[in-house]
Amino acid sequence: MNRVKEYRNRQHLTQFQLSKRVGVARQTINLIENNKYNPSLDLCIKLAKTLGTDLNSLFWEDE
Amino acid sequence: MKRKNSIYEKIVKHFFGIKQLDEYKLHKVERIGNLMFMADFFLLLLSVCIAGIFATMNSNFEIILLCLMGFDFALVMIEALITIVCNIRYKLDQIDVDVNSTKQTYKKLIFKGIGMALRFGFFMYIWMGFMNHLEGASWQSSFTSISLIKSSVKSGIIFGLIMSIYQIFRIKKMK
Repeated sequence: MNRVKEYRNRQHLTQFQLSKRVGVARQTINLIENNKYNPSLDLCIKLAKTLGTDLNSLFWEDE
Repeated sequence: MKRKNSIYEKIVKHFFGIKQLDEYKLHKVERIGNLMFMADFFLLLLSVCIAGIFATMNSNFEIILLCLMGFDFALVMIEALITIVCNIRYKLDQIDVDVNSTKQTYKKLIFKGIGMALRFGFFMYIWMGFMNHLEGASWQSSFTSISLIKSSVKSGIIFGLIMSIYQIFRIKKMK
């Protein structure tokens, strides 16, 4: 599971607000949070930058 | 900086009714395109084979033409079905609207519906007038008949209403 939802909640953003900032549709954010869509590296970087974190903490799964 | 849409993206957005084309939607649109291509390819191949069989049997030209037109119609119907089903399944044409700007969006969509109604009504007027002329009526009588104008207005209103209702159902209010 990725931690997009967790970081989004930390920033007090709704899916709609995050989607506007990143420049994608709200459904895409919803699908990413529910692990139903694997975003491109470009989108991952945009998400990490918008949420003020890095790719590792956002997408890396701890064992 | 805002990226400029390519012509391909503009056509895709217009064809599928997508407001914001992002990578997920583009991925799904390409998947739908592949599905359509496979259906088209199979049907076209089948239609050519069957038309070829009719041709070797020395059948009438009309039968071959009818067969090809039948397959063509089936092809268009299957494409439309794939587009509608995938659009509903992947919610490609959903419009996310901020709660505060819902009224403006409704207004925009209603104006869009009126525009569609006018265009459709005008198209029907031209098309039906042309068909009347082909059936033997003079240019003047075929384009100035009251029944033609009435039916064009009716079809325009019905089309505009249906499209407006469809567009309003696509809206999803967001906080």
